[in-house]
Amino acid sequence: MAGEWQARHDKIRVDLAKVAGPSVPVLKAALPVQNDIDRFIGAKLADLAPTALTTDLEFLRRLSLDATGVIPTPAEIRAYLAEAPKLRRAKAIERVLASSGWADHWVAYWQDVLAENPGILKPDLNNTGPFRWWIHQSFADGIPFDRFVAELLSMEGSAYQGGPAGFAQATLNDAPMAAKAEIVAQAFLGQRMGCARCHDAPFHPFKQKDLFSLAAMLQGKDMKLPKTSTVPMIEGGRKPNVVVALKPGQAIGPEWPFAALVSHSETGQLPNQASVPSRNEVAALIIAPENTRFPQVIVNRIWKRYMGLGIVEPADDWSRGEASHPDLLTYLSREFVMSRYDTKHVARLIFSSHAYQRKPVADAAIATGAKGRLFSGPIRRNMTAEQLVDSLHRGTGRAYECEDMNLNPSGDRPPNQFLNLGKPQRAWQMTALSNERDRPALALPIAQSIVDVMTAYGWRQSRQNAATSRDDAPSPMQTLIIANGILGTRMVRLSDDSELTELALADQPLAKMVNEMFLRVLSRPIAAGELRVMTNLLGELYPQRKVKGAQKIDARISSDSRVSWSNHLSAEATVIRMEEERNLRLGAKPTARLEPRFRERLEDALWAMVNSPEFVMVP
Amino acid sequence: MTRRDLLASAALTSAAFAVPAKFPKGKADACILLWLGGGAAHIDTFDPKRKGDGKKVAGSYYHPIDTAIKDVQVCEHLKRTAPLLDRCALIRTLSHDIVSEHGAASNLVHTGRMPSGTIQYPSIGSIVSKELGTKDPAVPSYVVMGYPNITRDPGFLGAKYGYVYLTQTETGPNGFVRPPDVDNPRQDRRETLLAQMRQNFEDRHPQDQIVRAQSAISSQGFKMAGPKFVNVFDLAKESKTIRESYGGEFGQRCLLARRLVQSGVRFVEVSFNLNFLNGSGWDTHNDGQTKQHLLIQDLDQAFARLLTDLEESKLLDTTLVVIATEFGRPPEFDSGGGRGHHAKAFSAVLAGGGLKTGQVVGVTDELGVEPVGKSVSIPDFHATIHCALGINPAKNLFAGDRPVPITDQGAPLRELFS
Repeated sequence: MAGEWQARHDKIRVDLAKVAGPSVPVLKAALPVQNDIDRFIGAKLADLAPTALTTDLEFLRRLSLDATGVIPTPAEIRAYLAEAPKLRRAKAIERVLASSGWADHWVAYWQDVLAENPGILKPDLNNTGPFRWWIHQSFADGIPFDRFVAELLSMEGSAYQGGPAGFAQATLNDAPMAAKAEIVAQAFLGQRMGCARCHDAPFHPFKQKDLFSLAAMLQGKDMKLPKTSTVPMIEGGRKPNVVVALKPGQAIGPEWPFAALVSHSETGQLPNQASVPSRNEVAALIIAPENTRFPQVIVNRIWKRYMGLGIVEPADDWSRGEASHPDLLTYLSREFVMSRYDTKHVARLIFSSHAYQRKPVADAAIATGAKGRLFSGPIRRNMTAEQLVDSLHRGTGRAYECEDMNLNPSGDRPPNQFLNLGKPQRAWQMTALSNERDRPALALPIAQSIVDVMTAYGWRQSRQNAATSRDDAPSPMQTLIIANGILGTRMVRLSDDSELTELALADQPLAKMVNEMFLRVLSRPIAAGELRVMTNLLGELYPQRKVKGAQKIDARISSDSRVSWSNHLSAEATVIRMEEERNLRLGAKPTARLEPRFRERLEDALWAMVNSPEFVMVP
Repeated sequence: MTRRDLLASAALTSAAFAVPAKFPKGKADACILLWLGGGAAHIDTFDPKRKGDGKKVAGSYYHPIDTAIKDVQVCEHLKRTAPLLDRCALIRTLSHDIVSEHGAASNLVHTGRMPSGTIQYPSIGSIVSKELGTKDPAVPSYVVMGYPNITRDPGFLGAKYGYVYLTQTETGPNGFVRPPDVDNPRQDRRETLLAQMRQNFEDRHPQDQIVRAQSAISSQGFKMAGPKFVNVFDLAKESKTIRESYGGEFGQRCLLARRLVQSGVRFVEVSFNLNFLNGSGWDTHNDGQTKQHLLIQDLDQAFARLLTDLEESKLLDTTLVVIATEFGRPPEFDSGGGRGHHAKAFSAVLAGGGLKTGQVVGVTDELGVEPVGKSVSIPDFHATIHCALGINPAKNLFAGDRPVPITDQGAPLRELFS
């Protein structure tokens, strides 16, 4: 298989090399340049000054978050600073691209864009299978992105164990393949067809027939328009303002609706052959080198993810706007295709540019206005929900604790009713807790405390529809859930399972200890003023901080795994879970090895650090 | 001009989107939804029929008693509610066809629609909280006492119209109540340290408007969890007599709901999910049936007290109280002596809100299986609730540029309005 894709890419590269790419501008002004991206950006900046370069440590924190979804460790920071200054950023880029976090951080993105929506309990709310595992594997294995699309569209493999067949599912949906057609067109072609689900799209050039024709190709046969997928026409009633050309029950045959983008491909048969032939056709047309829209949409998505705005906005609806830098888009597209559709290659180009390495735009009018897409600097972002949860754990030195994402540990029910999504080690592995029944015995208290944080930060527990951007504007709830919430409280508690407890007990001067804390949590050394504050807070109690003879206390949270679907309707199951909820709220048992007043003050300092805007704002 | 402006402009509005200005209005400006999760058996509660035997003979499990409404009876275990039924309107012919799955049925009753895959529909709590707006900025508009799940979520209305939730009355909502080991002096120390860190961060980013904005929102959050709101959750602020008059945990939740409405919350959903009483809650398959009367008695005490408490506090006219569930249950008994699911006809209760109470809407057949005559759809039910709260049942919400009718062609029950 890999060999066949290799051969296909060989041919594509040979053909593309014959076509001239966009000419790289020669800059008149003395603008900072690290690679060709900067030349394209620089040529259009006019009198807008580029922001200054980030400091080395600001860059490392942002790079770690953008490439691996989590803040760097002190060891990584030290290794980075030990490199020669001129080499350290490039080496850091290579290191993060090679790390396992690369795959982790991309899963969250594609879960949203492809509406991955598994349900762990009798899923009946437009649920899919858990194809997150296939997404992760694809990025971990460095699968070429065109192949990723072909595999997704084949919708084969296991439905419940995480394969692309899970993408085909849409429980209780009146037209699953219409839902998938909408997702695919938006994800890979920037064609937003959602309005065409029930009528001709009023503001987009798509008719309902277009969406259902594509759906029929994914289905492999004619689609019948469901009554529920149309605007009702009441006899003698008002006429709808939208055009409803199709009738309920009408059959729509398979037909490719995007002839304007590509009508056929000379590049030959796909190496992956799906058992539904028309799915091969869809995949082949999407990834055809003749279809220049596809690589442009993908590189634009990658660009937006790292720079905060796309070259084309909205990134999933290309009928709305113009590219801010059409030549840059073409350039990155060519790089992508020539690299054999390697997302790492595009990432490397972006990370290496001066444009990416600049400080974010500080002027709100520029950042939120049209000039934001001149990219005088990246647009400032906050951590995503997943980055926040993973960074809280890493920054405070706590291992991930969570119940298994499984409401049937006794394992005696079929997978179409119950899924076991395992014990999360990264936030993308969390899932909707599916407690529509509102039963305490079906609660997963630790998971709920994590989900509460993620939800406040824009994570969708139910991804019924595809999304490229999240509803994650800063809100008071975001502050409160970290400041007072169960997870936030546990993160700053100095219990015996926290690495920070060991740090506090180590024999070293106070200044060294707090400096290490700042490296861990904020990826930078402590500043002079901050050291004064910490010394005031902790200096007097520091020499006597250790409690002689104190033993370690097991602070792990217990979760009774005897509660399962088969016995959850017993009163005892309810009482067990409610007790667990109450205990969880009390927080982890603090260490006895630190003197309590000192420990409390140190926890307060840690609390202030994770609640500071600096923690959640990406540098 | 946005597309929404275009739609609203005269040229396009014409007859197609014209929204009737007149609609029946109640007096409510807040809503308490008592949610009986699991599917409460209607013939064992609000629509009693001839008695069955719990085995082979279908029928009600309990005896009926008279109520304040002439010729209308309810289950014997609702003896405190019965004399107060003149403050209520009983809907006996609620009907839908999602009988297999709790999640889907609960979602349908909460959002009024089936999931479409194009957008996610908002729950009635989110819609009401958006339409009525915030009464008091120090207080969230929408509170849930139960588990977060998508049936309660704001969907396309956005996170702004989400809810604050708690699962147990003594713990308070996650994020609002400080951890037990953080007393006032400790909180002061924390906030001082945080203020210093914030200032330090702002100083290192002079003239950075984005940093400044984030800093401001961060400080604002603490005001929202200020003592005004947090004290609302402290039931110790009510007299022992009042607390005891409400009964057990569900009653305490109803008391808390009254306090929340008093403090300005617009929509409170109170879940009756106290499955420690009978294990299965209202989902009385098999032996869940045996102790169902304990649930009904708890509901009875709490609901009756809530009505009289609201009345005494002069809040009943302005508070719509709703009792709802995802479906009902059939008259036959299963092999374990319990009941399965039944959605063709089941019951809901509306009280207060300035409605014309003391009446029953709809009649079911001799065993509560089918409506006799017209049924009330879930969209009709939603339209009625909207009217009670002064919300136009024919208006459009907007998912981006897309108009979404506030209900799926629902019509309010006009007999409930003067």
